[in-house]
Amino acid sequence: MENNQLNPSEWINKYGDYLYNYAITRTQSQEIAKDLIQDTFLSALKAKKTFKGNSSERTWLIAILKRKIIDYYRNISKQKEDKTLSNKPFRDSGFFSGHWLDNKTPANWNIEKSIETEELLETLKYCLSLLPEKLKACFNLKNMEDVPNKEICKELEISESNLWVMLHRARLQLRECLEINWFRK
Amino acid sequence: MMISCDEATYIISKNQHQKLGFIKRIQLKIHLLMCNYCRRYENQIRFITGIINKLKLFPENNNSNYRLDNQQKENLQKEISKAS
Repeated sequence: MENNQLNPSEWINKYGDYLYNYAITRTQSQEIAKDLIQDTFLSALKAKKTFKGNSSERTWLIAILKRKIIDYYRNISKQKEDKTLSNKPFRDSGFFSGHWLDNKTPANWNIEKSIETEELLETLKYCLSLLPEKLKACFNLKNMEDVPNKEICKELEISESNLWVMLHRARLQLRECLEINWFRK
Repeated sequence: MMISCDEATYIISKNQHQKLGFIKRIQLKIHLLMCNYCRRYENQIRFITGIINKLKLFPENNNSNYRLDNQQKENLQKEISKAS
């Protein structure tokens, strides 16, 4: 079939913006996204012979980009131990240990009334970008890339229970950030 | 049988990805009956999961659509031509 052949000279025009947006959504950074798509195109050229033509050119390029995103998160999550263990919104001692701290309790968001506006999406992206690297890696690979647990654990060198804890912490932070930057405004 | 808010919110997070076992489900239900804050938390997390899914599925109709400018496209094209 004609349409399942590779045509590198057309890549940038046909898929450049799409892949760029795809990468920005998943890394929350334009700079990183640019690097990742450049890597993607270069890897794709090298791997040209492995293209069997049973998927579309675009699908094939996205698969390569996905791999680049996983590599990216693997690298940043290795860089440094970040303070992912501090700042839980729960009491850490006493009779009510594990219960919400008084000043950290979730406020009423009036979700029914809140409309999913562009600003809300922007705020969410902003909050995602504030997550500590390791939490960001876990959260994005799991929620944006749908990478299976096993693979995330292998790439980030963590255990599965560790992954659940990270996702939990990422959500606590994300929720609080949205509340402060969106719902309280 | 009683769980803390920390555990309840952990279970809520996990529940965004998979079905809960019987005991966990009951524990969470009982906790949510008693805890207004965790009920809110669950609603808010579901709401966030919803928008994340939208963001994920439609990167291209995302309103703040980003475009590579011509200079960037040219540079990329050069890199590709060099490598091919």
